[in-house]
Amino acid sequence: MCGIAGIIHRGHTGDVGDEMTRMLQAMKHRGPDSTGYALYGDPSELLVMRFKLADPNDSGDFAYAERLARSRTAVEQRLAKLGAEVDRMDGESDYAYRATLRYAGELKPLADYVEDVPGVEVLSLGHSLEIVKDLGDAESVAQQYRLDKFQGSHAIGHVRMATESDVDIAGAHPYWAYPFSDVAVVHNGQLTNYHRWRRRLERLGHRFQSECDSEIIAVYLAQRMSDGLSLETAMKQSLTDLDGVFTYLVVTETSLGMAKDEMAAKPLVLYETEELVALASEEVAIRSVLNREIDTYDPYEGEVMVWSR
Amino acid sequence: MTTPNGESSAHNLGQSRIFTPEVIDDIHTKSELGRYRMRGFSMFKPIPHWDELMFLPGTLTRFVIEGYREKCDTRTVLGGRFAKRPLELDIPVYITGMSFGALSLEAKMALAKGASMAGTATCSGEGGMIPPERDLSTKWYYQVIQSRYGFNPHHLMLADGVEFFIGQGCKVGLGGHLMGQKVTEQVAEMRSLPPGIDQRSPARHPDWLGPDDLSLKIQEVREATDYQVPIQLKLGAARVYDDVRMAAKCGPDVIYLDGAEGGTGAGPHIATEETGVPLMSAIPEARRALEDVGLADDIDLVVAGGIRNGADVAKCLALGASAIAIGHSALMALNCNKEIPGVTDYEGTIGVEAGKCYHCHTGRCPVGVATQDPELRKRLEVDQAAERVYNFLHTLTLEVQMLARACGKTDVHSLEPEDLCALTTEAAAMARVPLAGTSYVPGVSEDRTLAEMKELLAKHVADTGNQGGANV
Amino acid sequence: MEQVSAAPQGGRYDIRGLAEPDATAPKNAVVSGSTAEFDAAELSTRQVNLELRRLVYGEGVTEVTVHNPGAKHSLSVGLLARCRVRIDGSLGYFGCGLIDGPEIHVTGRVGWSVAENMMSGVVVVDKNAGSLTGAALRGGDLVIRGHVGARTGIDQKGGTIVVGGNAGTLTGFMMQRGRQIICGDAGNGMGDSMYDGAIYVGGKVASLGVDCVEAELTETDREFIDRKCAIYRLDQPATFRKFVCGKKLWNYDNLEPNERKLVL
Repeated sequence: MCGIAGIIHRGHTGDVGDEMTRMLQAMKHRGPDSTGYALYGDPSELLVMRFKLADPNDSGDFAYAERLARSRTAVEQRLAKLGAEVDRMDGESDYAYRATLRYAGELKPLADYVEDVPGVEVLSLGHSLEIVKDLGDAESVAQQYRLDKFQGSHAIGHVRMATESDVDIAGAHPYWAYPFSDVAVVHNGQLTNYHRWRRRLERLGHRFQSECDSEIIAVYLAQRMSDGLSLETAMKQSLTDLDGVFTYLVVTETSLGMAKDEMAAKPLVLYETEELVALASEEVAIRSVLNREIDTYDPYEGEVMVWSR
Repeated sequence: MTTPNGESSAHNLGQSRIFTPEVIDDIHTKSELGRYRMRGFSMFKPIPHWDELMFLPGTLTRFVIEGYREKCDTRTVLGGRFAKRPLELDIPVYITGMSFGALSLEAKMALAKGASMAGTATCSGEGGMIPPERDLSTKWYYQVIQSRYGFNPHHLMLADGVEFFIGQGCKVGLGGHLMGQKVTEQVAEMRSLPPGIDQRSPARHPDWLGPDDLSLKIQEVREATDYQVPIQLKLGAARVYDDVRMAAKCGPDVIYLDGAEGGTGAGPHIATEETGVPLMSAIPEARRALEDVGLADDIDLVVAGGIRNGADVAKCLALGASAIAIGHSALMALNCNKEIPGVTDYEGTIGVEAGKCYHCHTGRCPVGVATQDPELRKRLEVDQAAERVYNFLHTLTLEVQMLARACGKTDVHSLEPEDLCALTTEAAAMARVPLAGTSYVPGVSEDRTLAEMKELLAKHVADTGNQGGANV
Repeated sequence: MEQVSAAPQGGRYDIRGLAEPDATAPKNAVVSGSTAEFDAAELSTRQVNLELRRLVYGEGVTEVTVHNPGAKHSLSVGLLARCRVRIDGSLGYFGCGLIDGPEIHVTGRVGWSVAENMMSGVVVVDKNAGSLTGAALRGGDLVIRGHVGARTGIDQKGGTIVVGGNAGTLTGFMMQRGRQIICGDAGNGMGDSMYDGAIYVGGKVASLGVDCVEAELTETDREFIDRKCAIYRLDQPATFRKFVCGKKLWNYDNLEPNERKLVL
């Protein structure tokens, strides 16, 4: 159970890192376990890969540092082996890294090969998408990953109260739509036909990074889009295909979308103008970036909306 | 050859173990009725239960406490986390929420009076507050239940504890039921319903739909009650580990778990038999969940469901409960299922002998407990019934003290899982205590061994790695 | 069970930041006679409520204005006295819940479950409301000038809910008593499983829920709608339709054959 937020600047860029931090911090009470961001900076020729070598929960015993160093070397070797030339690689902590790559090949073999290193998880891969997630509230994650200066066109974020999976990075949102470039999802609610869909998508060759039901939505949408559907049509279809109660936000390189199921049991408040659209589980989050009297409303059941940057 | 139950084990023609005469009758009844069957009472099918656990009292290794003489404290405090006035009970047992509507006014009054005599609490239940019950209760929980029948903020201010009813063990995931026969003018008026209708209460709360909203709902009630009294969340025991972790994160003072053995005044038979998990398996899971979220010492655990005697209570305390709530056995103290010569005629009026009655839902309770009928209600004399409730609560406490003292405890809350052993592997696995005469705890013993092996392996890999050996 | 001092983990520390057991009233209100006003911008939920209660219960103030409520949750809850409160801005979840008596005017919008379980009094919201508006309402008037979300008046047990705009899905879900006036359109499943009461709709109804049926709009109904719209100065549509309970679900659990003779 969670709080979700999204913001998209239309026709210009903004301080999406700082804005998303304020929105998520205002909803800390909805999910104190972990916080996550999917941020879209300026599209680049280079491929941006966010990955982690281990989980912050992992015990820091004497072998830990050594294991991390081994894993990092293994990741670099594997990137080189697939012909991905590392432009630069920065570590935000001893386990979380951001790499920019020169790579023109398929994303799936790259992600699979890198993740084959024990403990390693690719959080996002794309030309403008960057997913950052960690334990703790928004302010501490933003500080750790230096997100306050992040400029971009749009972003979504999530604060999590863990339900049926564990409190760790793998269970934190947003979810990258592995192996599709630049697609990510945050979700509030639960899917009750999750295992059916997981097995179905696994039969299509997808593999999942977590036990979290929300990851299904990202992969489901990306699969539908690669089948030729538009984002909006894929989202509409998801309303009948997915069972349970949910409100989710999805981002692609150019768009931000929201969908609310027929039961309308999960909240979302919307503020919309020509320049800016902001959405959140609670108005208090929108207020944190627009501190003046504003008009907001709640989308209705079964509604799907998409905005472009 | 016969089975332990005395049945013939031969596979004779015409004697199906699957389609027994009872099953066939059940199908006949449903096909005539066109709906699920309703009933009252607790669980009918056999499940692993408290009888499969035994205490390990002191002999030479432990100093036993002199029974009847030396101190063995029973005082129980609930909800000290945020509440300015935690609930203080003289004994670790109290009477759970049962609605006025399901029960008669006299039954509610007798339970309240008996509980007060024993220095413990009672709870409003679903139908709202009835002033005589509140007057007779020295400690009183007010329920915030899905239907909000009769819910009144003025009554909320009179509570010593607030219980959010989220589910009950006997029919987890369902709302309450009250058949039209019991929805009299008075009951209907208290619930703002038309009289005589069959009432199906909602399974969800009207004003919050998930734990994220529940956090805020708890904040609202705390604001309204000025942080004076404990907030308790009552859950039906099902996905216990995840549910309790989630409940704890919503910020309550107390979590109440209701095992599948719990009773009801009216519920679909199929739901009462087929939902939830036994209380014995729920308590260890709940303790583990509270420990994992770091609130094991802060949030108190109340449990209920199928509690019959002091041994059951003591076993719950040992597994990690702070207090135990009773429902059905308290009704039995009121005379439920007791033939009273010259007054009741179970066979003639209900169609079953006393001891086998489950007809609370019909409103025809022969002893005036689960009824709204003015004539039947006269059969329950409040003062005498209250005395019996007090006697029963007092006896439960004496029995708990007896077992605790035998285990060397001067406080019943010092009982711990290590004071128990199990008679069957099922009970050992669920309660996470060793099988009698062994140190074997199914699941736990294997995990421990596996962890040791993993650790040894990791050390081995690290050592050989340092020597520039095997490539990992 | 002993209380531990505020440790970073567990105890009275609340990781969500929602529990404030030790807060005190900020006493920042400017009081003039029986009226008062204060700024809530820098105050927590607890402090706003403590200040409100201090003024209404302690200082004998009968009219309070709260500035900059900032869509905070659980504001102005549990007020059990006659008084007037003006909220100059928006409220979050559970605004004005569990009240009996106050007249509250919110100039902005409200989140979920506004005025839940109100016993009596008036709550007027100038803009939109979230879902579960007036959940389990027992009395009084709840007026939303804008649109409302899903499940308006769920489990409503009395009182009147007036909506100037549209209403979402499952309006009047399991409603037991009272009335709703929806000037705009209503979403799917309206009046689902209602026991009693009446829903008046001025606009379109997407679909009716189980056991909700249309009934004839009487003179008395018309008069009631006119009166409420006049009191709250709402523009009303030309016509209204009335919806009530079909009573088909009232008795679903007829007794089993062998139980029937017990009751007869």
